[in-house]
This record gives sequence, C-alpha cells and structure tokens, in this order.
Amino acid sequence: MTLGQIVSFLGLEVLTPELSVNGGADVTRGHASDLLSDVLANAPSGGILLTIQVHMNVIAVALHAGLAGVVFTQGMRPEEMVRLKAVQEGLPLLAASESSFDLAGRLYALGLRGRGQPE
Amino acid sequence: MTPPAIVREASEKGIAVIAVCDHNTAGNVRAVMEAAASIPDGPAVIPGIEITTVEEVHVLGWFRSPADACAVSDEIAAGLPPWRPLAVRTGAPTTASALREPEQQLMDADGNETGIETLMLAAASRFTLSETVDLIHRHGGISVAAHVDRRSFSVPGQLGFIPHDVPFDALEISAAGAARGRAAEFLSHGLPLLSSSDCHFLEDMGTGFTLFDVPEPAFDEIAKALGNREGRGCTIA
Repeated sequence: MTLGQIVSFLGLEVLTPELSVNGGADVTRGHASDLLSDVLANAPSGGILLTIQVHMNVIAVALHAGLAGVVFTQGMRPEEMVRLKAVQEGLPLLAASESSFDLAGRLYALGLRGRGQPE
Repeated sequence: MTPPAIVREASEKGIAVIAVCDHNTAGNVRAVMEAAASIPDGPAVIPGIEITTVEEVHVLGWFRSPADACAVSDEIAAGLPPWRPLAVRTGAPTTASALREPEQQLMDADGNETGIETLMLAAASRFTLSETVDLIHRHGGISVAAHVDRRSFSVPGQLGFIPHDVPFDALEISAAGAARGRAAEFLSHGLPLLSSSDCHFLEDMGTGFTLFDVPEPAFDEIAKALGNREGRGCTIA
C-alpha cells in the first residue's frame, strides 16, 4: 500500500503538500513511539512512524531510520520550521486527530505490521 | 530530606557546594539556603530547579539568587496540572499505606512543614526544550542537560541525539555513568561535563560530584568555571 493510499483510507491530513505521497515504495510496516532513541533503534526501515513527538529532531531521526513518513497523532502539530525541514529533506509529514493507539489499530487492519512481525 | 538534614549531610561529607533542584519547583530552595547559613561549615547552596520539558527531557537550571529561581518556578507552575491523587485499584487491599498520598511538602529552614504542593510536579511543563533553556537564561541562570548518559528523561533518550542549536551551558553525566567512563562519549559537544549524585535520598549525596577549580564556592565562580574563564575550570572524577 502506498503512503497516498494510507492517507486516503485513514483521512490523514497532509502537512507537506509540497511532497508527493504517491509513487513511493509500498509501506508495509509501522512503529508507534514518542522516544526518538527508540525510533532510532527499532523503527522498521521503509515504515511509518506514529508519534506525538514534534521536536525538530524527529526529522533527522526519521531520515536516519529510513522512514517513509511521520504521522503526528492526537492533534499534535510541529512548528513551521520543522515542517520546512521535512519538505527540504523530502520526508512526508501527516497529521491525525486520533490517538496513536487508535491509528495503529486502523493501520493494522489495513495490513501493516510492526517490527519483527510476519507481514 | 529536610533542609537541616540536607545541609548537615553535605557538611559531614565535606561537600562545598550543593544545588537544590526539585522537580519543576524552587519552593524549598530558600529554606535550604537558610538552613545552610545557620550551621558552621554549611555548604554553599545554589538555588535551582529541574525542569521537565514538553519532550519530557530534564533540564537543570541554577541561579544567582533564590528570587531568580522562584521567578522561573512561577512560570513553570503556571502550566502544570493540579495534583492528581493516586488511583486506588478496585479489589486491591486497602491498607493505610496504599491509600496515603505521597506528599510534596514545603518546609521551613528547621524542617517544619509549611504547606503541601498542590501542583503535579512530576508532570511535563509547557516549555519546550529550547524554551526551557531560554527561560533559564532570561533569568541569568546556568542551564544543564541532566544525566545525558541515561535512557530516561535525557536529551539523547527522548530526542535521539543532542541538538546543536540548543545553547546548554553544560552536560551532566550521572554518577553511575561517570564511574563507567561514559563521559568520553559526550566530549565532542564542546560543552563542559559535570557529574552529580542527583540524590533523592540523603545517603546518596556525594556519590557523584564535580571538582571546581574556583577561589570560592559561589554561583558566579561556577559560571566562570563552566565558561573556562579567568583560570577557572572544572573536572569530573
């Protein structure tokens, strides 16, 4: 499933309209965490991250972990500087009003899995 | 951990200067300063606070005067939620100790209770990491990233790495981390490294410490030492 399909199935808001969410590799994995040290160590490459962490470091960490995109949950919004950095680096940012728990459940129902789980 | 007990412990252990840094409050700093002044060989007391940022990073603020510390404390307090009583689990044994709420006492210099803190000091403040360092600096303080070698509540733990655009004055290594030689991992940031006991219990006081090469144990001298100015400096064991 492409990031664009996930966006439309879940009704996510695209915070980086400058970037395309279609055409990338299929997204099959996800990770939910607000500790960026954990994201660095454990988020599956090519997956998406659900987080309420909006600090600038989330961009560098997501790039380092090779993530396909970041979803800020529970209504959290990064500052404009963070958004611009993501645009510059080509990292799609999305937003949802639901909690990470609810969003993870919906992504699981769409077939995404966490680290180490069979697809 | 009453003010008289704290300063007595420091005095007995030959500690020249302590910083009092309660979580998200400076409500007890004046009492400890008074207690230290009232005994012979009492330690110098730096009024401080350990702020929990929005990102749940712990940042230490040390100040020249208790008024500065309290001004910062007031700004932090304005964004803290009210104290939330411990939830009592249904079916759990209702012993007296299970029902007793942990109290956040305010004390005078003699250790008498003068009030109970009504805010949730363990919660995150409404200040981001950058805003917290700015808040401390606006009040003339020294900002220290606390226990950067630990996984919990540290800048690297919460944020993956130490961002270069946050103007910390120093990085603190935990006593356990310093003992294991972990300070070397943080040299590349170009910031002074400190260590302290982060003591939550009297017996832990002095388990971690920093040696300051200064003529007297005072805020301004420590500030000079951290800036490597006028021949002052500091090292950790």
